[in-house]
Amino acid sequence: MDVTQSSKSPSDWTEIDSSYRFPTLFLASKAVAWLLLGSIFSLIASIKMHSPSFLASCPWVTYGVMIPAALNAVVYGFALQGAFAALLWITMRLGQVKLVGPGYLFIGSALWNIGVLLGVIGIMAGHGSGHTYLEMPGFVSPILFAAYTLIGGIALVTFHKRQVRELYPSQWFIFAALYWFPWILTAGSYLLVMSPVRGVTQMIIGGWYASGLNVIVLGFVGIAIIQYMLPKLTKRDLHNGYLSLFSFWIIMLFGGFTGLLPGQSLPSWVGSLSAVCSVFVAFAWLVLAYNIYRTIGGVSGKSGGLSYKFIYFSAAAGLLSAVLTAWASRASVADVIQFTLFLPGLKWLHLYGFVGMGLLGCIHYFLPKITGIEWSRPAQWTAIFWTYAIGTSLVGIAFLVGGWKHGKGLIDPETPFMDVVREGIAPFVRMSTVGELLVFVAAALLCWNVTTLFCRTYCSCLCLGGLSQNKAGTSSETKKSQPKKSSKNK
Amino acid sequence: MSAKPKKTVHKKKHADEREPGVHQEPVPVLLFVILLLLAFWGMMYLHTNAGGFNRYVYGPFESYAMVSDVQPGSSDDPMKRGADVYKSICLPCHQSSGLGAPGQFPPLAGSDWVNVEGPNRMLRIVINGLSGPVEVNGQSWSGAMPGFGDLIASDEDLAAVITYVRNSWGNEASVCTPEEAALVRSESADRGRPWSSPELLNLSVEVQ
Ligand code: HEC
Repeated sequence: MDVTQSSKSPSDWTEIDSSYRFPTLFLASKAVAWLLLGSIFSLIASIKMHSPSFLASCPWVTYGVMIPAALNAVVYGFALQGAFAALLWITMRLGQVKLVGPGYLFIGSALWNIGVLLGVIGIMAGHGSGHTYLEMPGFVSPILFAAYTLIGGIALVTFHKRQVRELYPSQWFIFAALYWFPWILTAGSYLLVMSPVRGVTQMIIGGWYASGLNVIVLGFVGIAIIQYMLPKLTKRDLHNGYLSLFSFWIIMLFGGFTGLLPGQSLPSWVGSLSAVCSVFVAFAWLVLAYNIYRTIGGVSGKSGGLSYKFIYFSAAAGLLSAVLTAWASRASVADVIQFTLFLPGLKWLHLYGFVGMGLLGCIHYFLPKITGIEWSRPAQWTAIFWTYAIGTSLVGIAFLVGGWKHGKGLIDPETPFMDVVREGIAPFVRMSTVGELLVFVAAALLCWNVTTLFCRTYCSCLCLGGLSQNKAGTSSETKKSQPKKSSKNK
Repeated sequence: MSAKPKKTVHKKKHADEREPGVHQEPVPVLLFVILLLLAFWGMMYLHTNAGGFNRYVYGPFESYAMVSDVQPGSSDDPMKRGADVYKSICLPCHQSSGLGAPGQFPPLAGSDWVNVEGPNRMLRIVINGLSGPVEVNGQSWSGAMPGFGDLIASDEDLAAVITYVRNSWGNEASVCTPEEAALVRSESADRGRPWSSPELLNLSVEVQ
């Protein structure tokens, strides 16, 4: 059965797009700004790994502060915020529906950014909680939760009002992610930061939160993007919806328990269960990959343009990280990689390679569509893709290969410790610094491009009869302004 | 304002309107077969690697037995714990076989001091010691065993070693509880000298 959804006329589409113009620009420009900030923090931390005296006198930028600050800026500021922008857009496109309540979305996203900002400042001032992914001080969680209620609520109402009732697979993933996030955020921050449980249970909850956030919330948005964008860009239909359903349920059932690899100070059964679950998730990813392969097989990469490259990279990184996580969870492998850079490498691959790349591809594709303004310098976007892709790969390879060599050296009693440092760590850490530098350059270019697009859209709206009219967004006014703009294009 | 760009713009817009559809085909049976195999593998993996889902089993140990082997005296199992206490205190005299040494140390295996209903007399022997002539299974012994009440400071350990002796090498007698050990210990707190056989035989076998 084929469902081809193209009943709308171009003017309806512009109306839908314009309802979403400023909220998206806001979300997207703040997201890339957080990516830039996060990449600066992470670059500083990376330099400190081989040159500890760098900025050593300032307590706000010590290694132990920069790592969580970078992680939280990138996860909450960039990845989640970018995910909101992307999932709202996909919801509206697939449901052929206008954004409901853009004003609330504005308030929500402003609140979200305030929350993340306070959180990152809190971490830098030394009030971090010490639980990975939940380092932000306790008072931030209610702010984030309130902001999310608005943003997620808008997404759900918009989803509910959709005109096309049949669901495309990406929508299940988005829907699940929307519900999953508030649940893990409240449970996680309550049990770890506000009224902490004791001892070993903390680690279990921390791991559950981390995998829920990565594999289910961010992972599902990433998968939704891949499943939506690749067929869209190649003008194909998804090979088989039931295969997606199959993967969806497997990841839903097992994805939340993959974050506790063996080798941590936890009862063995926790790590073993986690290992089994991550094998299931890897299997689901292979099925997803097969489905995508059957969908886009035989298409030349060129036809999809630059966005295609972004999303393709994202899909490859997602598959690789799922498979590597499953491999790393074997007890024999976990013995080698514990206490090394291997796990940060996996995290990096997932967050920057899979989720980040997908979001950037989405932003690259849809911002010009919804603003009606093309990127002024497409060449810069090509540069962004390559610097980001090479940078991310360099860091990933450095951490994964370096971590493996480091671990092998550590468990071999014959190798002196300093040899391990000299051969197993130092060169790879330098390599990762180069990679992080490239990511920083990409983020800076990105920030510049998105911000200029924001300004140009803002100016063009002022020219087209005032921002107020556009914001009011009644259909007649939008339609009135629309011909003017297309006449400009002509 | 030529016609050419207008055309491309329009074309682009049109192409963008097309949302991807989705084919619905049955999921290959093979996937479910793989899923079942994975589930089977997962159960086998948990069987060998999950340490019986016991909360005391941490890596690198694989089972509870491995963990308790390296944790002397801190086991929950009184037999295991008692064996550790026995090894460290009683073994040099009564031997690991529980048979003692001819002419020097009487046997515990099959002893009529050990295989009685209650642990009262045995507890007192271990706490304060035993000296002078004593008849074990009809055979006379005359030696001296020092008390170990101070050395075995915890009531759990004391009870465990009694339980262990009463249930090893073919012995079959009741378990001694830490409460019984504590009671007898407090009763004999200010005795300060070893028991003699007649004194003990006047006492009941059960802890009261
Ligand atoms: C220094 C050597 C020595 C050690 C150590 C020792 N015993 Fe004895 N045990 C003796 C001797 C000697 C006798 C016989 C005493 C007598 O003849 O009056 C005896 C007698 C006994 C008896 C009563 C007679 C019998 O064979 O049943 C018991 C019960 C007993 N020991 C238990 C223990 C336990 C339990 C421990 C460890 C906590 C222990 N002993 C440690 C030397 C020892």
